[in-house]
Amino acid sequence: MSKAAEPNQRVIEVHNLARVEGEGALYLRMQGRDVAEVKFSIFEPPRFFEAFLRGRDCREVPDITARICGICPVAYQMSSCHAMEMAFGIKIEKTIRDLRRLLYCGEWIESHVLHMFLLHLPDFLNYESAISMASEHRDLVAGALQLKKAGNEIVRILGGREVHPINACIGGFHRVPTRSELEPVAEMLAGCRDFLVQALRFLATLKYPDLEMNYDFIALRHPEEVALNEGYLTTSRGLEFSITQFSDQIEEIHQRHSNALHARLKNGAIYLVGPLARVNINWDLYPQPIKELAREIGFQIPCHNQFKSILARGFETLYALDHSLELISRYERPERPATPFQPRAGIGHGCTEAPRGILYHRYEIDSEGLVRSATIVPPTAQNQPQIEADLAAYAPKLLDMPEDEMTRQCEFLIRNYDPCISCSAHFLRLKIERD
Amino acid sequence: MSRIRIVGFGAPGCGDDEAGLLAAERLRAILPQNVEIRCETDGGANLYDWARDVDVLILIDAARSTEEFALGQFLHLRYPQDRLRLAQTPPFHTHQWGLDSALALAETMHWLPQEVHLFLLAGDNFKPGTPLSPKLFQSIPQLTQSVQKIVSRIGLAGR
Repeated sequence: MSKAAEPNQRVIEVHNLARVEGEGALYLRMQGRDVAEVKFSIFEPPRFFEAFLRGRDCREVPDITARICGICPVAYQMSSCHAMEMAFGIKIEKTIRDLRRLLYCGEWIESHVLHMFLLHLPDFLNYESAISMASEHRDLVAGALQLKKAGNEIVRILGGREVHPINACIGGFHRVPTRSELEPVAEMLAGCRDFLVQALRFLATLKYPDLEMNYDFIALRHPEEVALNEGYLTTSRGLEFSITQFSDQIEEIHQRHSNALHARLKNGAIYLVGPLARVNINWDLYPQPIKELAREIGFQIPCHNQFKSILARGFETLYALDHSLELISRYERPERPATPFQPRAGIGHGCTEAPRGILYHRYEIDSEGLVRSATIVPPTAQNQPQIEADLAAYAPKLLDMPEDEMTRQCEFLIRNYDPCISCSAHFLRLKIERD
Repeated sequence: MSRIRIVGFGAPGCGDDEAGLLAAERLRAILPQNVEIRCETDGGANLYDWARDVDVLILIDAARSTEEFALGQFLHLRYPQDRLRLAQTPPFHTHQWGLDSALALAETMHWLPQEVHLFLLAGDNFKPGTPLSPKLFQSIPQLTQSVQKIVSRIGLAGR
């Protein structure tokens, strides 16, 4: 909605941004052709998870934190499990490590496919929603839903259920699957691979708005593999640090207009996390067939256009699919599902690659295994300042557009981030003012 | 014989959002085994699984109570006939893909059978870690009786 506040001022308001997760808004004030103020606000009520984790038994934490999000509960479980394992000095077995990677691949597949094909693609094809898009792109939607189902199935088998899984625990899993339980999923995944490759070829033909930003990407990096659960943090400007140094390098600050804390580097710089950051930082570790497909369809690294995050998600989905097949093919059921442990006093850090970017957890545990303090830094909270910076750079390019199209373009840009507002407040009304 | 599928939607341990799951589990215990019963915890997003290849679809989900739709009451809607009523009382969901969006998508994909029943249970507490409201819990047997009647009618018609 737009209105003229003063003769030279134009105001655009959108009270609820569609196709994002949670409750939030955007305020954009234009002075002539310049952006005077951008506020990406998160209204999702604070959920106080960090507070009510205090005093809980450490073993409860993976299941409680999984409740923070219905889309990326695995990420919450994995970050909390790894943090506890660091605190207690637990080493997990290789097969368990592989199963955790498989579980994470399941979450990447289901979350990415939902966003790419049902939430983000309608923007590129100029449809109001996936429902209107589906009438002309039935095969694409059907293929996407089939692939999403395969991802869900991985999470169901390893997590105990598709949403808010309950099977992951400190040290491993409560129960590990038999090989025969995983084989049907491998068939489903293999059956979806051609669809995904063709879909990526189609996505590469989309018209991408021109917005090259000088991003500082941050992602987890592992020397030997595409990082999911383990590694160190690295930025595209060359900074490397251990996850234990997260709070030495990154600070969270409160902004009046948002219920989610904003994150920035201690030097004041903002940064980008998520699929585009990850593929830029870890592309050298991607398998050759994926790199060849990227070359064929013209996707180049470095890529600084966040509208192309849909392609980054696509390549991550393809990686997750292929990697899942590899993990399932070599799977042998371990003798024990989890490494036994005794809680002890300590501090643990966990940082894993949630679908939307790095998810950091820190816990201080007392000698009885009770949580003394908890810190959770979700990816959407980290991306908030970068979303505002992207909008500030993009809005001047839109000034000659009709108000409704300008608004649509701003929403489109925000959806590049697949923002998960429930997580970050633990999303979106849009208001634009123009002079 | 008609293929009947009953799907309960919800989130376990999230207050009244669990109602659809509990109703489906109760129906599993009392209906013949040839009635397929599923529980869906991923909103409506798994429509590839629950919407296709069936003759009759019976969906059960929670919705937010309103002044006209009090806690513990339930609505029995037909889809797509009662689309407008559904828009006034959308099923509760915490994420983008609620049952209302999923039903519309399944309709566009021509996946829905001719006969789709939608039962909505009015709840008012959807907080994680909280139990189902007692009043809502008490209304589940009445809802399952209504579902049983539909199944019986279809069963008789199928003989």
